[in-house]
Amino acid sequence: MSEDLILVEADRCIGCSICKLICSISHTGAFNPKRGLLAVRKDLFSGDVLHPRL
Amino acid sequence: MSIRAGGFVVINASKCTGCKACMNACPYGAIFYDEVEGVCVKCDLCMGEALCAKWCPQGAIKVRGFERSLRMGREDPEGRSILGGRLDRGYGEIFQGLLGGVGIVARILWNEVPPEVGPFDPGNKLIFMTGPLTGTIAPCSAKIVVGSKSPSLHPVEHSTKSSVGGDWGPELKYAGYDGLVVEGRAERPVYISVLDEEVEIRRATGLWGKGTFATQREIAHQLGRKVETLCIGPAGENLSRIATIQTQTGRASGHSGFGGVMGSKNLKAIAVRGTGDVKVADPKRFLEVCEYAKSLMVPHPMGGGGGGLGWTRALPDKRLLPFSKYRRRYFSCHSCPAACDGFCSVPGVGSGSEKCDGWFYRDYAYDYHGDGSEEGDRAFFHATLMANDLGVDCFELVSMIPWLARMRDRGLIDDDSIGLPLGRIGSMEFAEKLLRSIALREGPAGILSEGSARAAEILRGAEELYEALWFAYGQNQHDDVRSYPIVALLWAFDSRDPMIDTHAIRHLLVTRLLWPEPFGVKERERDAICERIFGSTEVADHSNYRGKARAAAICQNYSRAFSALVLCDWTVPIFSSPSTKDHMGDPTVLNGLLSAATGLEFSLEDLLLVGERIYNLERAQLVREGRRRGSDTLYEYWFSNPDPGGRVVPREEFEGAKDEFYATRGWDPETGIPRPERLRELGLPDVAEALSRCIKDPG
Ligand code: SF4
Ligand code: SF4
Ligand code: SF4
Ligand code: SF4
Repeated sequence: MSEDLILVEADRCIGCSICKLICSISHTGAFNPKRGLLAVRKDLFSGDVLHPRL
Repeated sequence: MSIRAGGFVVINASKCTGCKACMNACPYGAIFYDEVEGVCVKCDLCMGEALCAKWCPQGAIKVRGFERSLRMGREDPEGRSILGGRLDRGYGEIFQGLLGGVGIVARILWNEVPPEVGPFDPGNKLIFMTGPLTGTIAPCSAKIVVGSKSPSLHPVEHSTKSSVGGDWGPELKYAGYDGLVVEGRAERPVYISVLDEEVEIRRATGLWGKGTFATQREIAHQLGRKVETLCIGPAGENLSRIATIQTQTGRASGHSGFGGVMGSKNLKAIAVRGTGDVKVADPKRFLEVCEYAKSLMVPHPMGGGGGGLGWTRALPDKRLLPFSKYRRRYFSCHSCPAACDGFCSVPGVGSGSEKCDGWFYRDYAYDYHGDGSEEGDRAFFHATLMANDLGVDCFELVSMIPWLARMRDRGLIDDDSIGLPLGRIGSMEFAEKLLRSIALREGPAGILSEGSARAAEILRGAEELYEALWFAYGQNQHDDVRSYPIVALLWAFDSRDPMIDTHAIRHLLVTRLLWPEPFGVKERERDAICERIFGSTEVADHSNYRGKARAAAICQNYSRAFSALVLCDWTVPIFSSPSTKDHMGDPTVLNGLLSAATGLEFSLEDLLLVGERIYNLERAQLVREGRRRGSDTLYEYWFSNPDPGGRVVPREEFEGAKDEFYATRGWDPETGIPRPERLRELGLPDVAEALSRCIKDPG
C-alpha cells in the first residue's frame, strides 16, 4: 500500500472549509462539505481545529 | 474495497452496503459515511492531484509523496472529472430579477410588512436570506442578509437590513433552504431546529437568560449534533433596541437592533444542520472564476501574506501589536480565505473573537490602566467578550462611551444619576456595569438599552452632545461626513449606516490610502480604478460635491448587487485588489460567478440593473413609511460645526447634489419619491401603482 497521506497542519488552518468544498465538487459534482473526504472541524469556543489524519 | 494501481485504497460504491465496519476499523479515521448515498467513502487523493491541498488558502494541507501521486493521477484522470448540475433558485415568480439576499428581503418587506407594523409587533417579520452563491466555494460567500422593521433606527423605525457571516447561511443551504422568515410570536421561549427536513419548534425554557456562548453550546448538546446556531443574548430577550443576533463568538447581525425583534417573538435561537448538496450549473467555469477571484485576494497572514486583520499588523498601532500575543489563530467564515476573525485567549478572562468592532473599549482600557498593562488587556477583552455574550451591539458602544464621558465632563450626568462609575471608564468594573445595565435594563443606566438616540431624548441637555457623535437615523459614524462628500451623500439616502455594504468603496477612497503594502493604494492607482468604475476621477476629489451624486448611485447599485449574491463587502476584490500590480480589482467576477452558478448569462450591466431595482424597492418601502426628501439628510451638527480642517457639510452644495441624485435616479426632486415610470421601467409595476398614491400625499 502506498505511503501517500493527506496531512492537515491544524495550526495554520483558518476553518474556511474550502478543502471540503473543492473535494466534494470534484468527487460528487456538488458542493457539500459533509461529503468532503477529509475532516476539518473547528471549535469556535475553544479555538481548536480538529482533524483526523488521513 | 480494493487497492488500485498506485496504492490508492478506494471504496467500490456499488458494492458498499454502508455497514460502517471499515469506518470503525480504520486507525486513521479516514473513512466517512456519506449520508446522501448511504455508502462509506474515503480520500482517494483525487487519484493524484490532491485538490484540497491546492485550494487551501493557508497551505495547511500537504501531501506526502505528492510528486509521485501527481504522476499517477495523470494516468487516471477520471477521479477528477467534474459533474454538471443546476442551481435551484426556487424563489418563485415574484422574486424574478431580485436574485437573492437583500433583493428578496426588500421584496418580502414590501409585500408583507405594512407601515403600521412596529418592530416588536407579532406582525413584524424577521427574514434570514441566503443568495445564489451561498454554500458554494465562491470566496467571501458565507454571509446572509437579515431584514426586518428596525427598533434601533430613530426617529422612524424604518424597515432595514443587516448581515451576518460565519457558517450559518451555508448550513441552511445544505439543509435545502434558501431562506427563513419568522412571523408571529411564540407564547413562551422557544428555539427552532432545522435538521435537514426535520424542522421543529422546541422549548427554550432552560436557555432563556443565558449568554450567546452558553446557548450555542447547550443547543448543540441538546440536539446531539454539530449545528450552526444564530441566537440572542439577554439584551435581545429584554427587547433592547441595540441588541444583536449572534453566531460563534463574535459574528453578529449588529447595527439594526434585530436581536430585540427576535426577543419579541420569544425566539432564542435558530439551529441548523444540513447534509445536502448545493449545485451550480457549470462547475468547471465556476471553479475557474473562483480561482481567478481568489487570485485577486492575498492569502491570510498565518500563511505569510496578510489579509483579514493582517493589515493591522503593519499599522504603527502601539495598542494593537502587543495584544497580538494573545492571538491563537484566525478564523474565517465559510469559504473565505481572508479570516478576519482573530481568535484570542486572555488568561483569567476567556477566549473568543477579536475584530474591529470589538475594539470599542480598547483605548479606554489602556488610557485607564496604562499601555501594555495586563490589566488593560483584561479590561479590554472582557468588555469585548461580554458584549458578544450578552448580545449588545459593539458598534453602538463605540460612540456611546465617549458620549457618556462628555456628558460627565459637562456635568449633565454623575455616578448617582446614571448609576455608573463614571470616574472609572476604562476599568473592568465600568464595562461590566454598563453592559449589564443595557442587557438587563438594570438601574438608571437601563435607559441606554433604548439606544443612544432615544436615551438622548430622555437625558436633559444630552441631545447636542449626541449629535456630535452620530450622523443620522440614530446610527453612528464610520468616516467623517465633513471630509468625504461621497460618504455624506451615501448617508443621506440610506435607511441606516450605509457602510454596512459599501466597505469596497470605503476601502478605495478612504482607508487604503492610509494602509501599508500590499493593502495600500496609491493616489495614482486609485484614480485609475475610479476611471474604470465611475468613468471619472471626480469621486476621489473630496474638496467639492461635483460628480458625487452619480457616483453615489453607482456605489449603491454595486452594494445591492453583491448583497443580493450575497458576498462580503469587506474583502470582495471588485474595486481594489491587494494582489495585482496596480491594485486594480475586477468587478466582472460578480457577474462571472453568477452566470456560472445559474447557467443564465449576466453582464455586469445586468447585475447593476438588478442592484438599481433592489435599491428602488428599498426606497419605496421607506417612502411608504414616511421618508421624503426632507429626511434625506444628516444631523444639523454636521452642517454647522467644522472639523479640524475647518470643513462643514456645505448645505447648498449638499442640496444641489441631492437634486442631481434624484435626477439620476428618476425620482421626483420635490419629494424624493421614485417616479412611477421609472419603477415600471425597472420591472416593479405593482410598486409603481402603490407609490402613486403616496405622491398625492407628499407627507
Ligand atoms: S461500509 Fe465499509 S466495510 Fe462495509 S462494505 Fe462499505 S466499504 Fe466495506
Ligand atoms: S480526495 Fe478530497 S481529501 Fe483527498 S486529496 Fe482529493 S480533495 Fe483532498
Ligand atoms: S479549512 Fe481546509 S482549506 Fe481552510 S485553511 Fe483549513 S485545511 Fe485549509
Ligand atoms: S472577510 Fe471576514 S466577515 Fe467577510 S467573509 Fe471573510 S471572514 Fe467573513
